[in-house]
Amino acid sequence: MKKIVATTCILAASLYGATADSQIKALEDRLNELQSQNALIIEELGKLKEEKEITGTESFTGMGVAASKVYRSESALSVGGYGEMNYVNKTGSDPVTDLYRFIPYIGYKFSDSIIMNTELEWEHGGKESEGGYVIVEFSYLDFLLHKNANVRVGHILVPMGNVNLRHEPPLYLGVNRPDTEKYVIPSTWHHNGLLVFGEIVEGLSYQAGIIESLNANSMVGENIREGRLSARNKNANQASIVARIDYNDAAKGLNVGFSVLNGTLNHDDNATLEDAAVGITMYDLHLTYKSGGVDLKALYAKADIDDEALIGYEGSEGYYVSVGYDIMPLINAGAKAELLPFVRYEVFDEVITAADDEKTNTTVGFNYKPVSNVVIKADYMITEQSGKDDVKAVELGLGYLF
Amino acid sequence: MKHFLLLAACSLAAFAGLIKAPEKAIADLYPKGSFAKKTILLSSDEAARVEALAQEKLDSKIVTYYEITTPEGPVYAYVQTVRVRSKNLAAMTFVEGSGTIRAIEIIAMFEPMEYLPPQKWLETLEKKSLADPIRPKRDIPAITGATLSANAVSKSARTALAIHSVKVAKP
Repeated sequence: MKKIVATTCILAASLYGATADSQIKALEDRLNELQSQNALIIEELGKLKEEKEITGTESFTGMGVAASKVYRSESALSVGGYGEMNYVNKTGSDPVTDLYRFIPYIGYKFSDSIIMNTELEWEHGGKESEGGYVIVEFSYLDFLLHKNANVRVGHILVPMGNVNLRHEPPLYLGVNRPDTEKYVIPSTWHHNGLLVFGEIVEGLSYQAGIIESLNANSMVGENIREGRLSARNKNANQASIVARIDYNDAAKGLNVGFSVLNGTLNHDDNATLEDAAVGITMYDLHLTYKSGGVDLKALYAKADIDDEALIGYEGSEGYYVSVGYDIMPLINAGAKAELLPFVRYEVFDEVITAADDEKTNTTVGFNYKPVSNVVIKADYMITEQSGKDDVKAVELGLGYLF
Repeated sequence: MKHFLLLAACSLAAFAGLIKAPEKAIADLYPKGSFAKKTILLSSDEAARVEALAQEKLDSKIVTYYEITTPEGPVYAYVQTVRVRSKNLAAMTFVEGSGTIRAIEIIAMFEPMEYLPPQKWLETLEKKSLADPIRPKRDIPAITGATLSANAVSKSARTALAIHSVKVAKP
């Protein structure tokens, strides 16, 4: 009897063991199947992600994989912009807070080679009675033909200096732009015209073309800045040629170049200026260096006007050097933020006359960028001019770029 | 006029969004290499470690990379898509087994081509590792006129190195 019981127990245990083994095997198979399915799902999701972002399924003009589908997957409409708000407390003036600029960029890609780009500008909040305004700062079509030669036509930024082409607040040191690039090169300077641009060899680029000339009537007794035209010019009777060459050594963070403009000033129907042909020549040498924590910018610019007697001055001239150094790695080596104390020194003559009215600006301050496209600025600027009291200004600023 | 139209037609390719297919980029750099494409899913913990190492936010936990077998040893190529201004740039970061950057190729660019980082600048990122900050204007130069592109490529490189360190590198 004992033998029968023992045999039954052994048999039962064996049967139970066999069942457990088969259940474990079944679970293992199921797990392997789920793992395979999981891997397939991840792979398929990866393909979808990749297809959406970079590749497609068909070739595009011999470029390899599926450019056209990728291309279509991106919207043709592009929106960007920048803005800045300032506080300025200057001796002899009441403190001012100002939503100085809000600027949306709108771009549209009609085809791979025809692109529209527009910058709208709201300055000082846009309310005219408070000195604000809204204008189209640029609006042009690019015809991208070849990396060596492309065409830009419409209302364009005049390709001179450091600031006129690149004036978003996170890109320069100090709350306000250098006065040399405001009164000698009248940034932001945008006229109707046509440019050809491209790369001559790697690192060497050019822009050259024809733009409407500055308006002499507005400049008389004022300064060159007042001669800027708006997008509608009722007296488009004169043009200027403009050219620019830049050498960019990307491996060193260095950009150096020069620009030149020559032409005859425009004029309204005016008895004094109607038959006058007043020539203007403007040129600049510019440099930027951004590497090793250093942010260096320098520029020399000069404008010569042919007929001093008619306009009231013979031109304008100025230079500046600004240098900042990112000290954040010294405070926190791993920080993404940047902290750049800087100093800027500039000398400029807004209108060159017999009078000794040259101004010198010395600015010290810092740019703090918690992320690369947002900047908080503070500086202290002293303006010296012969025979006048120094003007001292405390400036605070907030800027962004998107 | 005929010549102008011909020139315009021929130039289309130069301004397309896709510059180079990833497979072509690999073949150009490693003509004698073979590769396997892999897609992995980072766990929440791994994604958090990648974000901490790269100091960048990950857009997706799905990562596609290429494991390239070369005579000098394995190389891993990570494709990262990053926003420049309002459009994307896709960069392929080639990372050696040791965790240093071997090369970077821009394989797609949807911003205007004038913002494309020059090859010379891309070369300044070679030999960088997670130990380097890889921040424009600090240990690598900034690009005048293409600041946002430089930021985008450096973000892509840091993310690739962090993924490599957390998920792919062999201990």
